Amino acid sequence: MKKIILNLIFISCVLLVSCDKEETKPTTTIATSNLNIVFNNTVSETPIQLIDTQFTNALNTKYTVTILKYYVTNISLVDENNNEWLAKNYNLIDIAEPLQNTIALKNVPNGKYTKMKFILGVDSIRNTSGLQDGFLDPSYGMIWTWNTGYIFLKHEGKYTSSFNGVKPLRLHLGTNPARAYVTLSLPAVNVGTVGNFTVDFDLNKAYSAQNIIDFNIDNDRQSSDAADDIWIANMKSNLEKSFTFEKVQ
Amino acid sequence: MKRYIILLMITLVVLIFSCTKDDKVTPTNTNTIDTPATPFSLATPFGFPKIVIPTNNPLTVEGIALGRKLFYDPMLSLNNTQSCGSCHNQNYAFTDSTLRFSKGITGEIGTRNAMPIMNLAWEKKFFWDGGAATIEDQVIGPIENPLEMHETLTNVLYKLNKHPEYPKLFKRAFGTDSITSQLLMKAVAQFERTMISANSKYDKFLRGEVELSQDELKGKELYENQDKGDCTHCHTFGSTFTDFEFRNNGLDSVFTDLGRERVTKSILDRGKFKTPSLRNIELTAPYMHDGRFATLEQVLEHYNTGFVESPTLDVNISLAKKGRLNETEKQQIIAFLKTLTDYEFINNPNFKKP
Repeated sequence: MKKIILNLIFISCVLLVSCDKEETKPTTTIATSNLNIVFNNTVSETPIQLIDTQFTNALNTKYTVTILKYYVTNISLVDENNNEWLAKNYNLIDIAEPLQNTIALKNVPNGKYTKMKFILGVDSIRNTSGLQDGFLDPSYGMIWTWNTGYIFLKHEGKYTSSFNGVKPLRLHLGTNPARAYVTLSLPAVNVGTVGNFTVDFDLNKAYSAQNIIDFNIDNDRQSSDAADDIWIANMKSNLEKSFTFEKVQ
Repeated sequence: MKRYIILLMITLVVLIFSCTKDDKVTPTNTNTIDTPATPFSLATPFGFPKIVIPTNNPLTVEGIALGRKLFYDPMLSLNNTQSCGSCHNQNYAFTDSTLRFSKGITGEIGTRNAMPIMNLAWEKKFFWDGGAATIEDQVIGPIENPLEMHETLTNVLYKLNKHPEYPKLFKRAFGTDSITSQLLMKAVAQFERTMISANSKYDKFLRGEVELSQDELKGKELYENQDKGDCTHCHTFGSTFTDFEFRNNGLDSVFTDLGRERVTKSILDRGKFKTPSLRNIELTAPYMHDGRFATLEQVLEHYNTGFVESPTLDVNISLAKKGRLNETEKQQIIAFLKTLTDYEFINNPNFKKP
């Protein structure tokens, strides 16, 4: 009988020890800091606000913005020694929700960073089901209900047509070929001494940085049929050139 | 002495428990689980491929019951007038009676015929064009479609969260009373996974419980005969009666509805639609993605003589000889198809409005 008790006590001890062991302890002691990245949404340096402001694109077409939302995901920072630090996070920039436009990165290793990379859109792994939380929750209205996949960028508003007055503008960019890989040069941002920096997005560049988009042709795109393919490819390469590092704060 | 052993054993159990619990994600909501939901085991019917339940949405008695309540709740529509069950009627194997196109809450009609909800547990893609990847994902389409329930997920969640009953039911099913779109999708999907039709006359025949008539047996033979019905290439003979593929079955040469192309954006998928299961086909009229045929006779005549050429026409159709079936043979095939009607399914109390 005693033996059994001893055995049980022994097993208990083993279990207790194994329990403790499962807790992961940091193995290195590199100093880290929190970093805020502010996304500033503009049209040629004019901030986009939710009022009926008319903007003018590269083709001199007047347009407005009533909805502007886009996914910024998989942000990574590259330091001067080419070490890449990746934050596997999913952010939804939305001009109607200013709080969402500051992305808080936690525990970034201190150091001087010369590049910032991110995906404008959702990576292929997460783009296959709406059964997700955070900003990938379908209730954010950024998922198609007729096709499994996220709308990477949504711009709705109006434009003044060259032919027949003010017309609706409805641009929903998505699907795998639309995924834009953005790389920004940073002026050796010193994480550890700076708390945040600002990145500018210029919506006009999204329609002109490399390929000129004409709203008279591309005013209603849902990324849903083959006719949208050229627009998607043009938008992708434009978006990769639509962001710039603005300043350290 | 015995008491000590028992005490030690209890301690052990507690220790083991606390160890494993560490791995679990703790719900963010403060109202956490009281008693865990009761696991539900969905039996694979005789002759069917094994059912695989996704690990991120295990079936529970409470989850299924909640999904059933949601399925029949008009709160899921903008003006609280339509539920999933409004257009998916059990009497018609969960299609919309004999309507070609269903009416949404605004009275506008859709562009495709309501599909039956049965045996989804085996399906690989959902909707006529396979636009939804999982049963969970297909839940939100009809809720948000302006031609259907015309509601937003945000508003559905708002209504559910302030409802006197639903938070409690979600807590019982999922351990939290904070209702999210994920949990809504999971609950409805759980119920829909259980909607299995596998007890038709044909199933009873397979199990040796009943005999088929001479006409039914002849029809079964013609169904499989490659020079006659040749149905089985796509409506795979046996259990599911579909190959789960997308095919152009020769309805049109010019397409107003691009079908699968809308999803894949490949011109090779133009005019392709999901091969529907032929189970309960007697009850799911009208037929085809646009409900253009009112009767099974018309369907059989389409496959016999009516199909037309187009670049994506399915090879099985283009190889078929026109006029290969005579009137008797068509009737015999139809007689066999009617053995796939599952009266137990359409009367199953577990699928009725709670």
